[in-house]
Amino acid sequence: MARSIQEVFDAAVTEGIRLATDANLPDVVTMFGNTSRVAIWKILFYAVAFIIHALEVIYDLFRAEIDNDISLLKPHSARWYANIAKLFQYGFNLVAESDYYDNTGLTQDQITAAQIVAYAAVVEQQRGIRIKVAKIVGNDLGALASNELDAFSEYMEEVKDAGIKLLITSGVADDLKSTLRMFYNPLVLAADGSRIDGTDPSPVQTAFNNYLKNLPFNGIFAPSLMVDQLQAVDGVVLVKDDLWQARYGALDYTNIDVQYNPDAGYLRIDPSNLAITFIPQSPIL
Amino acid sequence: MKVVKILLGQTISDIAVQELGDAERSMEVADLNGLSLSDDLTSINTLLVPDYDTSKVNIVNLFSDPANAPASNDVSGNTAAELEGIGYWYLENDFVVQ
Repeated sequence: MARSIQEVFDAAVTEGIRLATDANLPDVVTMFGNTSRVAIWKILFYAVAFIIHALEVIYDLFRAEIDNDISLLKPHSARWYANIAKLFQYGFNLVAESDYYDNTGLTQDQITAAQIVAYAAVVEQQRGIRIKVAKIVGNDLGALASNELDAFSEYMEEVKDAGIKLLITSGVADDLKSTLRMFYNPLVLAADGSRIDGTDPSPVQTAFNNYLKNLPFNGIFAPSLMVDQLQAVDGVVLVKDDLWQARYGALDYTNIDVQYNPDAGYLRIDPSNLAITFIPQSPIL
Repeated sequence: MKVVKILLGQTISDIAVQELGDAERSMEVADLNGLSLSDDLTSINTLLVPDYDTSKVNIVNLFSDPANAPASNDVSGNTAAELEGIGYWYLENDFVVQ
């Protein structure tokens, strides 16, 4: 973005005073102190500042032209769809015949607040593409409300490439169900899974939920990686996973064999679905 | 957006100051007319100019009288006087060695 003439001028004056001071040229420093509106140095500096400003404006124009050319030429990748989805602003109208918003006069905070789509994943399907999105609710992910989803769908219809069929979904988290046998070190953990020193009432459950939260959006859930995480918890000696099941929507739970790709893009577990049996076990060295 | 007649000796930045009250918008005027900022306007009669910003209305009013119009291009036709002296003289042109 081109700087204004005044900005270039001020930058040049600051730099000029610094150089003159460093080179110990008191006459030049005095010259900068001449505040007359028609001081020769001011006229010269202004002329140079004007030229630099003009050059920067030319660069901006050049860049805009190049951007425009690229946007017309480039076929859009799945990554582009994910990026453009995150640029959606709820409650704003697009600039006519374009795929961007006019944000002049808005602060960055206002723009960020309007960009409700925090996560977007694009999956290619046989017919068109599917876009999964989620927003931030509290400190967790959540589904877009129906108004928001309608607005978002309309936005994507406006900005998408011609001929692309979109399926846009924003669902609540997939449900996970798990039964575990936890062999714990009785020197560190108590029989209910809490830490004996009282610093954490449920370190295993916390690690379990943190792992789910830290999965990338639309990332693969792998039970064996989860077991690794749980075995890293202080006081846990071994973990035997007896059951892994997941479901989305109101469908039935299905067993997870090796990995699971959450349909909503993310996965959560209800505390009642996480059954852990704690069994004391001496540490295995 | 309006069409402005160019007076003798006016440059694009003169027009920007006169019509928009802001030299910073010179490039905008040049771009709008498909010209370069330093193009000579002697062969052009009119320029297309965007609307001025309301905050600059005082400057625009000041220059609305053609008698006040800025014209910074040199139209006298005079070129700078040739420099004299041993450092500027050419052999066979200013002096002859015999």
